[in-house]
Amino acid sequence: MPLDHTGLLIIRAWVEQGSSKRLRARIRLTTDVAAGFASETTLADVNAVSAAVEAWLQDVLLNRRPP
Amino acid sequence: MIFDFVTRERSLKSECVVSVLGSFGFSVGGKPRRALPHGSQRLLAFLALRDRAVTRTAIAGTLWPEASEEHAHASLRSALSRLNEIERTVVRVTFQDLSLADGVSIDIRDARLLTHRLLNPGTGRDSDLSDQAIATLSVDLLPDWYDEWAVVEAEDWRQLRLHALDALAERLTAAGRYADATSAALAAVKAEPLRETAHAALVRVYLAEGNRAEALSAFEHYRALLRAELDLEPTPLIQALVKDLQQP
Repeated sequence: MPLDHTGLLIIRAWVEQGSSKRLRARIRLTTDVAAGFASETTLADVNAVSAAVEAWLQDVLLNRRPP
Repeated sequence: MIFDFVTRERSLKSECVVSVLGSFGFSVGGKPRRALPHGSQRLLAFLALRDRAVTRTAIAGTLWPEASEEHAHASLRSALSRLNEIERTVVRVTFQDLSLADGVSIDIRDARLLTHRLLNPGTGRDSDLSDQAIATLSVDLLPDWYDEWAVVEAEDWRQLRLHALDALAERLTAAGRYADATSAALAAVKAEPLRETAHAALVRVYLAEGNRAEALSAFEHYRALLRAELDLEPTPLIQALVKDLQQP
């Protein structure tokens, strides 16, 4: 049976030259576009970004709203 | 009679504006038109963003990606047919493709030209250093639309406007217009609160007008935000701007 909702996650990443951690990744996400974006956050660590994507996919699968 | 019709049609087109900044809008002679059906809005917005002729197949496939080809083409025909006589004059329709008609104004076209002038030294106009420019660069493109094509365009515009706001703040500072420069820099900070170049632009505006306390305050605000959000310190580049202002 098809899902009746669509999730969306946008990562805007850029590099801050001179910073001790150069990555900046601003993440906007929702598990249901009909409800608009549910959260926005900025991360500076590759593993943290990967974890955020994984958690979002789990939320989409389970039709959960992100915390 | 034919001449009258052609003249009227040209006149109508020249008064038509399709807007995608802030929200979708369609106006004729400065007056907003009735709320268009959503499919028709999406069609006009898509054509405004492409700003060239696009094949019917490409439009149907992009706007209705989950429909079969036959249904997508039917949806496109429906979106067209739901435009009334005046609204339909803004779309140039051929057997193969569609585009917005010559003479139709598109806000994103003008806004992109503004950003390119601001980002290319020697190509600016005095009128670019205006409140209107700051307002144009402060809004997102179709912020509540989640179609894939719209999201990509929105992110592209966001990136462009952030850089243009930095450039605008710099030009206004050079012109001694510190209040407007502050507005431009603050708009960039608001759009991306953890982007350091925007905070650096704001600090430079305050320093240029001799407002050392505000410069230090802006820096401290950024430092506190960075610590709270990412547990990081500002880079040496922005710290150097306020080095002489800080107490030992």
